[in-house]
Amino acid sequence: MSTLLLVAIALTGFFAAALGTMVGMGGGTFVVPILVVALGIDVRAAIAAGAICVVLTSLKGSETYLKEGMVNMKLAMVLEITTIVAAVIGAMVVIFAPEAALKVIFGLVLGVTGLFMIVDPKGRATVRSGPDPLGLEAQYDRPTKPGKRQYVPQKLRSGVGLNSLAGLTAGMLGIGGGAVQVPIMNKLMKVPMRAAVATSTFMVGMTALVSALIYTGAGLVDVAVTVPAMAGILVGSAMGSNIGTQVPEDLLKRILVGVLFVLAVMMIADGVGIWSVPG
Amino acid sequence: MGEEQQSADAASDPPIAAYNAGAVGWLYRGISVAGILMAVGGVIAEVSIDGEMKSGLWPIAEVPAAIAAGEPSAWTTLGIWILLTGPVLALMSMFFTGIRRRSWSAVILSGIVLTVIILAIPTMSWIQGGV
Repeated sequence: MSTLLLVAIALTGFFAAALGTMVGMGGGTFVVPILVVALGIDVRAAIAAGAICVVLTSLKGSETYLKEGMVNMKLAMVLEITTIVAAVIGAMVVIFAPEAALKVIFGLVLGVTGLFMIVDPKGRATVRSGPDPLGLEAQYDRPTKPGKRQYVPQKLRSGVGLNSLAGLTAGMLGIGGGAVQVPIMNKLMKVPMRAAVATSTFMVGMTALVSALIYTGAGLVDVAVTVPAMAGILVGSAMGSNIGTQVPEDLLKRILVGVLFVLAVMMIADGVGIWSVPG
Repeated sequence: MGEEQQSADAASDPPIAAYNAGAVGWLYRGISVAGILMAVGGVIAEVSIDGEMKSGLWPIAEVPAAIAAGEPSAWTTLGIWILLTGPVLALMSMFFTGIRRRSWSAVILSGIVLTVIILAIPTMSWIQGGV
């Protein structure tokens, strides 16, 4: 692989992570489709690279959340049981499914994610006490106000079931699954947004790990794609979190939704053979 | 710590204490720094020496010998594997902290997730043989 292409992959990782981090989505959702539709990287190699990048961003993102006690580790473990099994199934699909089908599925997931961002129903009020048979109640120090925020996750069965969708998506597409997990935890299970983001960031590393192991076994990991993307994502996510605070949130969201829809259309068009990377 | 105190800890099962979150945070920092330095360092060395880079990973069993033989791409493989050990070590930390604190829910939950990950390794070998 030429040095020029390595630099292009690193820049893709950088822009994908900067964009994703600005709105708290991480880089995985964007890096895989951009590698495929802009650079013509094989979709399976891009998915495998995406999964390893998710492990890295999960480790980096979780370290602060863990030290601050924002991650509800018990809830993460309960949800992870079905999520991780679904991720194994998703990763097997990557190996055996036709490339065109993977591109179309990816495009559809990007489109649905964009729609979710437009609709964005408000999360319901946090439940502070009540039945908690598994002892999932947790609390964390409020970052902006004095005192602690306490909550009891609700609708555990539905949450566990729907999180397996996040696992399947993550395993099949090499993305973290946070875009699916965070709304489930926040809007359905009534976990406060900060705790939902922290817990999801921690979980996606484990989910992506099983997929990465299976991709490695199938020989799908291309280090010439993976490592430059990792380096770009690392720098891009650090810059994205700084820029994100200076740009109006509404503008960011519009840009992001626009990019998601464009990538969705390009991936589907590429999958059905209407369009492909020039050259 | 007395047995009564340990039982009290287990009963309340606070997420941070029972799952050793602070230690896992530090572990993640060390692993991500070491992994990325090795992976990127290996790529830079390989491109500098050979002018291009190989695409595949080294088989894990051959990595020590390849490093001893001065193969820069083996460092890249090692860096990626170090990153991948992060979540496994976190789960092991939760599992053993759970045993020490008698927080059986932490032991069972982290044990189940760890088992699924461990089962993915023979799946990986099976795929390696079949694909």
